Amino acid sequence: MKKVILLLIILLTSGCYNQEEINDLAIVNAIGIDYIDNEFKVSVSIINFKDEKENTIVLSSNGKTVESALNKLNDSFDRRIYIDQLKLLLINKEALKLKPVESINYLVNYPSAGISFLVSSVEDNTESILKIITTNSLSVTTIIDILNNSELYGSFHSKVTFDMFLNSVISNNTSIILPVLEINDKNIGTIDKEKTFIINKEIIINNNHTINYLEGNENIGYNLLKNKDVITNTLTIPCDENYFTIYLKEIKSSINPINNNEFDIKIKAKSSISDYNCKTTTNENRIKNDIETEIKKIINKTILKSINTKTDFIGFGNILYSKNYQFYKTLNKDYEQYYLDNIKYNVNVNITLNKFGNLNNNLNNLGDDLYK
Amino acid sequence: MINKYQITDNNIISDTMNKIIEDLYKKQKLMPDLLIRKIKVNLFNYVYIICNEGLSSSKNINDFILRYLSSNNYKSLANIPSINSKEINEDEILFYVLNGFACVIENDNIFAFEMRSEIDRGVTEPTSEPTIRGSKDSFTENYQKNIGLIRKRIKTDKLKLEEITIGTDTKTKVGIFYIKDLSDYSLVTKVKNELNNVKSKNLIDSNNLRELLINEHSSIMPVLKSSELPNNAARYLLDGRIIICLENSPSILIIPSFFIDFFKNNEDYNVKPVFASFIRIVRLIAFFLAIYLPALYIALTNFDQEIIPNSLLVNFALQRVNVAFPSIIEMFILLFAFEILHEGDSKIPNSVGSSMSILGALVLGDAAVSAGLISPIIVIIVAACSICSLLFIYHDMQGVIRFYRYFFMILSCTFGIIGLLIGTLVFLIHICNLKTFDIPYLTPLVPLRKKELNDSIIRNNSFKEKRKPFMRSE
Repeated sequence: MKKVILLLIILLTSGCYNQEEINDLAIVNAIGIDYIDNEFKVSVSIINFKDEKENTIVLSSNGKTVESALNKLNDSFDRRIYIDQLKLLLINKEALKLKPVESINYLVNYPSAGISFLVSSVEDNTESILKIITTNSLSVTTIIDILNNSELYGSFHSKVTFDMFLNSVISNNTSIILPVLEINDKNIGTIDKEKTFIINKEIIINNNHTINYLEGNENIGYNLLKNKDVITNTLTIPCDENYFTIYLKEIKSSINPINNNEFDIKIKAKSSISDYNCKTTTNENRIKNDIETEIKKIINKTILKSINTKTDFIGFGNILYSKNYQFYKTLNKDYEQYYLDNIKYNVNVNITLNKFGNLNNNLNNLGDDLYK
Repeated sequence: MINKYQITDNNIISDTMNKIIEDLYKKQKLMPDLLIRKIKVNLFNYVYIICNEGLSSSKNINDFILRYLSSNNYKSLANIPSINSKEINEDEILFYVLNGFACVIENDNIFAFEMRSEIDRGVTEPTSEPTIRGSKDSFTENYQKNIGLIRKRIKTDKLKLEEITIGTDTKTKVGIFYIKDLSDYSLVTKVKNELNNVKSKNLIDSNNLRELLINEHSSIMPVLKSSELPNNAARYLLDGRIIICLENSPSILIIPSFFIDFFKNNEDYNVKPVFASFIRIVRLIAFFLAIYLPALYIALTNFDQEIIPNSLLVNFALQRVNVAFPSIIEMFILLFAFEILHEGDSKIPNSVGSSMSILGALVLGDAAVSAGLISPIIVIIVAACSICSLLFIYHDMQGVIRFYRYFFMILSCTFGIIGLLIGTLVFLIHICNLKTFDIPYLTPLVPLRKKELNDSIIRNNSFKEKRKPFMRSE
C-alpha cells in the first residue's frame, strides 16, 4: 500500500512537464517559403479562434534559415507556433530555383510535421496567396481542395505530397515538378470564392536549376507517361469543324529501355466517347485512330519538352537506374544536359473504345460495323 | 441414567426436564420471542413446546402438534405426524428452534418438528438482471426455494448438492451444486476445501463469502460472478461449473468465472446467435471505451496533438477558448460529479431520483458549460464513457471500469500516450497472469481453446450441437 501511495504521489506531483492545452497552440495550417535578398521569408497561416470562430491570421518573418525565421514568429504571437498539423507548403519560384534543399531542410528534421502534406509552388510571393485566405474568410482547406480537385476532375495537374517532393529534390534521376498555384484575379470579391485560386501549369526544375513550365495538354502526356490513372483524363480531339471529347480510364503505360538511348513506350487505355459533335459520319476504327494519333501527338510534345528544356521530369534517368544500371553508372550527375538530346523512342498506343453514341446519329453505323 | 421424579401440582416431571425448562426460562428473559408452552396431555403428563414466535408457524403447530397432543390417540411424541422430525438432545434445542423447528419435550425425550413460517418475499422478478424474453423468476432469500428453483431445471440425479455450515455465530448453510460427470471433481474438492477453511464468525450474504475466499483478494478484477437468475445457474451447471448457494442470499456464485463471462447476459440466449454475438462485441468495445476514452482525450489533447486530425483539433480548441481550467482538471471535476450523481441516483428512492437527474443534466450539462467551467467536448467524453460503463449490469465490472479509468487517466496526465501504453501493458499483464481456482482468467481466449470459443465473444448455436462442457475439455 505504501508503494502505491508513493507511486501516486510521484505521478501526481512530478508529471505533466510537457503538457500543453490545445487552445494555447498557434496551429499552423500552411507555410509559405520565399527567398528574397539572400534571406528566407517564412509566412505562416495560423488558425485563430479567439472569438470562438475559426479564421486565419498570416504572419511572416525573415531569417537566414527557415527555422530562425519561424522562431522569430514566436516573438510576435501570443501562442506557440505549432507546425505539427501542417497541411500545405507553398514554395516561391526563387526559393525553388536557388535554395530547394535549404528551404525544406527544417521540415525534414522536424518529423512530427509528417510527410503527407501537399506542396505547391507560387510565382510571386507566398504571403500574398496566404493573405487572400484571410481576406476572403477562406481556409487553407480551400487550396488543398483545389489541388485535389484539379488532379481528379479538373485539368489533371498532379498534386505533390512532401515525400514525393523530397524525393525529387534529393534524387539525381528525376527533376522537380510542382503544380503552380496562382491567384484568379477575375473572381476575387465575387460570390464564387472557391475559384479564388487557379492551377494552370506545373513548374519543372532540372538539376541545373533552370525553370520551365508544363502547359496546355503536356500535363496529360505527363500523366500518361507516369502511369497516373486519374479519374477523368479527358481529351478533346478535333474532327472536321467540330470537336469530340473522350475520357480515358484504366491507363496502363510502361517505358522500357531497348538499348542505351532507345525507349519503347507502350500505352494501353480504355476510352469512352462522352461528347461527340462531329458532323461527318464515321466508324469506330477511325475514331480509335484519331484518338491514338492525338495521344501520340501529346506524348511527342511532352517528350520534346523534356528534351528541349533539358529537364528529365519523365524520369528516363530513373528508368535506366532500375532497368539498365550498368549504363546508368556511366552517366554524370548533369546527364540531362547531354543525354536527353540523343534519346530515341517508339510510342505504341492501344485504345479500346467501349462506349459510343450521340444525338446526331452519326455514330449509328458503328454498331453495324461491330456486328458485320 | 436414573431420573428422579418429583411430584408438583399432582404432576410427574423428570429432573432433567425440569432443568432444561429452567434453563430455557432463563434464556427467555433476553429472548422474549422464545415461546415455552406447557401442555397437559393426560392426567399425569405434561409436555413442553418450545418454538420461536417469528421463525415457526403457529398455525402449523396448532394444526399438527397441538391437535395430535389433545386427541385421544396420543401415545408418544414419536408418533406425531411430520415430514421432518428428529429426536435431538438438550444441547441442540436452541439450534433447532432458531431454524424454525418446534421442539417438544416430554420427560427425557426431546423431538424437533419442522414448523417453519414463511418469512421470505416469495419468488419475484429479478431486479439486478432484468430479463425480457427469458424466465422471470429469481432466487430469493429462502435457501430451500433456491435449491428448488435449480432442481426444477435440472431433473437428474447427477446434480449433486453438498452442504456445509460457515460462521460460528450465523451458522449459515452453504450449498455446493455440481453435476457429476460434467464438473471437474478436483475443482469441487478444491472449492470444498477452501470453503471448509473459511474461518469467520459471521457470514450474512454471498458477497461476504466472495471476500472470504482467498482467490478474490489477488486482483481488482472480479473472479467470481454472481447471478440471481436460476436460468443462469442451470446454464453454468450444465457447462460444468460449480454453483455456490447461500442461505439468506438471493444470488448464487459461479465457480470458476472468467473475464468473458462478465460480457455475457442471460438475454443473449433468447435472441438469435448473430445478434447475441453482435451485442457481445458491442459490450467488449464499450468496456474499452469506458476505460480509455477520458485518458485518450487527455493524452491526445495535452501531449500528442499531432495525432488528432486537423479539423477535429481546431474544433476541440475552439470549444476550449473560454474555459478557465486545464482539461485534466475539467475531466476530473466532471467525472467526480458524475460519480456523485450515479451514486445518488442508484441509492436514493425513485421519487427523488427524477429531480436529481434533471438537476444533474441541467446544472452539469448546460449551466456548467455556459459558465465556462467545462468545455462541451469534456461533457461528451464523460457522458460517452459513463454510458458505456452503465452497459455492465454486474456491479463488480463497473468498479473495475472505474478503477482502470482513473488509473489510465493519471498515467496519461503524466506521460501522455506513452503512459497510456504503459498502463495498457500493465493491465494486459495483470489479466493474463490472473487465475481463478488455478484456471487462467482469460480462458478460453488466452490460452486459446478453439473448441470452447463457441460461447465466448461469438455465440454459436449452442443448443443444436453436442457441445463439450467447459471444464472437462482438457
